[in-house]
Amino acid sequence: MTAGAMRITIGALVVVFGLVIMGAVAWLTLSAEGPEQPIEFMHSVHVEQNDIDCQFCHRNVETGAEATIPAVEQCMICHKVINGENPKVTNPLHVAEIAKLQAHWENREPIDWVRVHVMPDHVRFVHAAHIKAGFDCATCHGDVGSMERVKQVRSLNMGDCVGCHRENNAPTDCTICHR
Amino acid sequence: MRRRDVLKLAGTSGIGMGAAVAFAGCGTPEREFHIQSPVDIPEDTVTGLDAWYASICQDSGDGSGVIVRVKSGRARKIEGNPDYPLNRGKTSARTQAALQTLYNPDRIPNPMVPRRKRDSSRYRFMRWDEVLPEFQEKLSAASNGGIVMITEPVNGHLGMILERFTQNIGARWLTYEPLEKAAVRQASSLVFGTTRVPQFDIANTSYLLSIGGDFLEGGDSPVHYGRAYGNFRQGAGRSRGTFAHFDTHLTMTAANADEWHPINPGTEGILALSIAHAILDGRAVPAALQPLTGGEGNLEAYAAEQVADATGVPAEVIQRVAHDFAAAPTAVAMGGGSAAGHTNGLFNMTAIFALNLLKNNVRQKGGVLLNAPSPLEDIPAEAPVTSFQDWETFLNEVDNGQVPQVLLVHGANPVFGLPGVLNAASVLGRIPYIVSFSNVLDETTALADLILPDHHFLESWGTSVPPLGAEYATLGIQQPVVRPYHQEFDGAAGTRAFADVLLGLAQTLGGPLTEALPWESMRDAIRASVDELQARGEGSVTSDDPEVFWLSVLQRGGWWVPAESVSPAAPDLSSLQVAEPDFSSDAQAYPYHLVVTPSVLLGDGSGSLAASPWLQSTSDPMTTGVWGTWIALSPKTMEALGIQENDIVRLTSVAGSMLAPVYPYPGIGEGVVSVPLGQGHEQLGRYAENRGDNPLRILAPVVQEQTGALAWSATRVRIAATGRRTRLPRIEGITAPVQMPDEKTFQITNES
Amino acid sequence: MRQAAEGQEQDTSKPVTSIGRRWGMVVDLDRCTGCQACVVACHAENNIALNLEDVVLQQRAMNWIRIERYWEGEYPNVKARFLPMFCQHCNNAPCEPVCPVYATYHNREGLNVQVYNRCIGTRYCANNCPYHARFFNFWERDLEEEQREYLNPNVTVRTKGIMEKCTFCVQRIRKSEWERRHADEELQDGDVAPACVQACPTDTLVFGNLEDENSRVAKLAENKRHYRVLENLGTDTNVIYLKKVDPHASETAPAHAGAAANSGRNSA
Repeated sequence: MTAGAMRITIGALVVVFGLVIMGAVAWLTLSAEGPEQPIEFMHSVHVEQNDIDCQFCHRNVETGAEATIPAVEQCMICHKVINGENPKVTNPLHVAEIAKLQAHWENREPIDWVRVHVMPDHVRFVHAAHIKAGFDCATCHGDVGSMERVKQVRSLNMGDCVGCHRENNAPTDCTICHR
Repeated sequence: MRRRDVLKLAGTSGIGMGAAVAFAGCGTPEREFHIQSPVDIPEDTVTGLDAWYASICQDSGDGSGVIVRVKSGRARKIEGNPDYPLNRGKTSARTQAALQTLYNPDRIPNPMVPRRKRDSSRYRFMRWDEVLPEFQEKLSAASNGGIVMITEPVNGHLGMILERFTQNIGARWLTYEPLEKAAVRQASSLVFGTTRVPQFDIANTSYLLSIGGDFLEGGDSPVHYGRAYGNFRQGAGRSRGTFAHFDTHLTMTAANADEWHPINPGTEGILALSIAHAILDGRAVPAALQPLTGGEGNLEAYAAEQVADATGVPAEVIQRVAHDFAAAPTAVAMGGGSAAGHTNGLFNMTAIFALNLLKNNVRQKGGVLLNAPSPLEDIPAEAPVTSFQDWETFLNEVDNGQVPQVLLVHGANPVFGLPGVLNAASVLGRIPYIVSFSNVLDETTALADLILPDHHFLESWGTSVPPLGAEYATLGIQQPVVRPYHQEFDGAAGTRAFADVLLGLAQTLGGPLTEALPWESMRDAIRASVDELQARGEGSVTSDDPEVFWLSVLQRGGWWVPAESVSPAAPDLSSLQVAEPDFSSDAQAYPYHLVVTPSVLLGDGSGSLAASPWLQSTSDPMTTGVWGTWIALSPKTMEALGIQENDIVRLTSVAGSMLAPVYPYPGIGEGVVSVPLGQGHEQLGRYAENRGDNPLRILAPVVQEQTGALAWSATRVRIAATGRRTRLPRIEGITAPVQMPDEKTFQITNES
Repeated sequence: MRQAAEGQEQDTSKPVTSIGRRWGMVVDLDRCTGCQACVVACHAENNIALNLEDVVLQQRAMNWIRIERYWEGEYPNVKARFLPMFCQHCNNAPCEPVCPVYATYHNREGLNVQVYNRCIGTRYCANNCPYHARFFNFWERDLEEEQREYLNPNVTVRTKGIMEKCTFCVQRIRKSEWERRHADEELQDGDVAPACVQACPTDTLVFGNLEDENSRVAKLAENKRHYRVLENLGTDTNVIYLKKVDPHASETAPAHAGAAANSGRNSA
């Protein structure tokens, strides 16, 4: 094999390997289960069963770029009373997970959630603009309210974003997202 | 929220928009895959919007009003406060760079003590509760007069606290200003009856005459005057102003004049009198200005033809400028810069300022406006300045055995700035117990036995009375816009506000000190003053509710009230002596005149500005030099000495010598050498140390007789090649538009 | 690059259909003092890599906006002139057609856009820019933890191998747009100020919509002192300069870039 052919083969291998990795990432992100989180937080319990609005916790979604993950302090607004000592909380899993939350609060330890919807740094997504345009959270995030563990339901890659922007006659200039 | 919480949050907030993590094509930083619930609800998460807080910038040298963008608990950008009377939303390069003095990787995070006395190479980190008791003991044990406090000239609440603290503890308070402006202040006092340098209303004047004035780069507030300059040139509803400037070399301010004329160093006062002679045009010298004639009763000796040789300014230029000055509907004469740093600085400044009296423009639009006083009687607008003469006396005393027991240092760096022949480091080093409150390791702090690092100004409370402001009596309020980066928690160390340490001492030491300083913290002291302002029921903010008033004042960045007109005292020049400049050494051995030039970026080098890589790497406006010191020489001088660009030369004065590469400077005469200030630090962290050389070190310790200030323009030097070469980093030559035949990149018109 | 035909006015040469908005800037050279506030403001806003000493010595310093200094005349009649220079956002941009991957293009608001994630670093664009307004990241940046704290979260931190340049602070344009839209209002003149404009003490720089004839920038662009840098190239820039006024201009030699008074590398 000549050196040139060798280089081409190696190049092809690198490309194939890259595709495999990308495929794996896509499969992982769109797989049936979402990633495991430090606290088994269940959206279904909060939204479906207790009818809490998304914005009660993700309170910046209407005004800011980020929907924001609530601070521990905010969880504790309710969980000061809703915890293992409360007779209505019977599920041992719930009791255990709430205890973890309380431990974070008492130790003043922030919670490192695993990011489910990862966007690269060269993308600027503004939640408020999309809410203002009348979109529902579920358009992109799926029916999170019924999920026990959050998973990604849309690819949210550039084609996905641009496709939706085109359908809805939203601007598609590069600087809308890249800056 | 605690520091490490903020740290994590800052790295990983929000989807997409939040994380300013380096964008990398392949491989993503681990933390980008995490998103964090902070423990407490951060303020900007309550609204979803950037938080902007008003405060005061101490790095700009003038206390500019700023608003600071805080996102995820971190200051991200500084802009001018659009309401603040001094700068009206504008900022200088230094203000912009304050983020880098806040997030300086070389800040001192904790109290620390050197492992070996006077050895600044290794330190032991301490906790506050470990070091404060011993510190208090030393203070209590010091006999009356055994404590010396050295600070920068400081006004506002810190000025008030320092004054009361030093008075009641029996300490001697010395302030240090490298390029003393004593001549300017004293001349203002003689001519305008006010020790605060007045505000020259260049925004509204039609003719600006400046003799040595460096108002666009040094002076009281380059931002304020920059804004006024824009209006002077092309402001709406006025015709373009004319600007004539005389200086020893082409400074940045000079480059912006319509006409610039070189002048022989030290003859600025003579030039001013010659202009006065031409303005008077045979009329008698007004009685108030008689002392300027040196007993002659007239200015005949200063006729344009008589002084042309001495000043180096052609007679026709003097006559034309005098004519234009007199004929203009409004005109103002400014002075300063190196003209004030001669042995006859007071005479120079007085003669220049007196031209305004001939124009009768004091308290007139487009003339000289007198600054409003401090809005509060007990809060000083002026900082006391210790003259160079007093510094010399003090150091001599210490050298001769009158050694104080304790030295406290904050914000001043005399070891860096005082002329090298005074040996400030070794003399001050004899003081047995030195405590520094600096949050960077500067040359003076390197001597310390104990370092108690101060917060950055964006983390602490303070106030400022702006140096300029005729329209409003202003109290600018500096509030902490971010939590301290090196925060105390759970018994861990961190930084602590200087003022709060002093107030804490006042509480524990007791006696008259506690009575004089009854507040527990700077915040309380400011709050008490703000309550006083609230009771007045006037000004930029009014409210019946003290709490609402307090919050509104913080929101606006301060409080100001239209100033009642200040009545000027009659000029009294009787104590003035007409004087020729006196140079440190004979012209034969030291043929070149040394002009040290404050940089628009690094100032006079006394603060920690040189630790900012932004300021270090930003092009000097005139030479485009960065990251170093250069010696600006006339190409003709270089030719005569056989020196090439980038040759390292040695400048030697009677007091010492320095090394730097040569920059061929088209705007300087053959007898003059100009060297920028700001570099030559032995300490100050990775970006500043061992970079360039410090011309302040080689200044001859010559005193201005009438003011006691250092005559920092009075040093002569000789130049010798070393045979070595280097490359001065500079921005010019890296990029420039392509050149087109017959098309000029920079275009000029002579019609306004 | 298209050459403008002789005598052709800018409107006919515009390659992009207008949407009633064309961002532009006016630079009044008669106001500029050379104070460098804009330069540092730009670094602070746009996460530009630090120009450390060795980077400057390699001639690889990045300044999206710089103040060029031109010498003119001989001592003692010497003058120094200051010219702020940055991406001119040309309507006929020489950098755009040479990019093989469309990483640089012209958007409908008149902005010359650099898309970082498309850029593969050929540097053709920089070579073709007559204003030398484009900068290549030769090095990966090495930031201390402290120096990450002041990064602007709204601007991508560029990595090695990527071209970058002045964006007219597009993040601020988008933010103002969004804030107005949020309040169901139209964007107003004066809403958007790039970092350099906001900092400039002398009001040398004025930014706005050149197509809105009532905007401050459009009115200033009509000033009799207006000119464009390298107008003969037909780049049709969206940056308009107002000539420096010098009542004594005829007395001295005219300014010419590169007329070396000392070293042959004369302009900044």
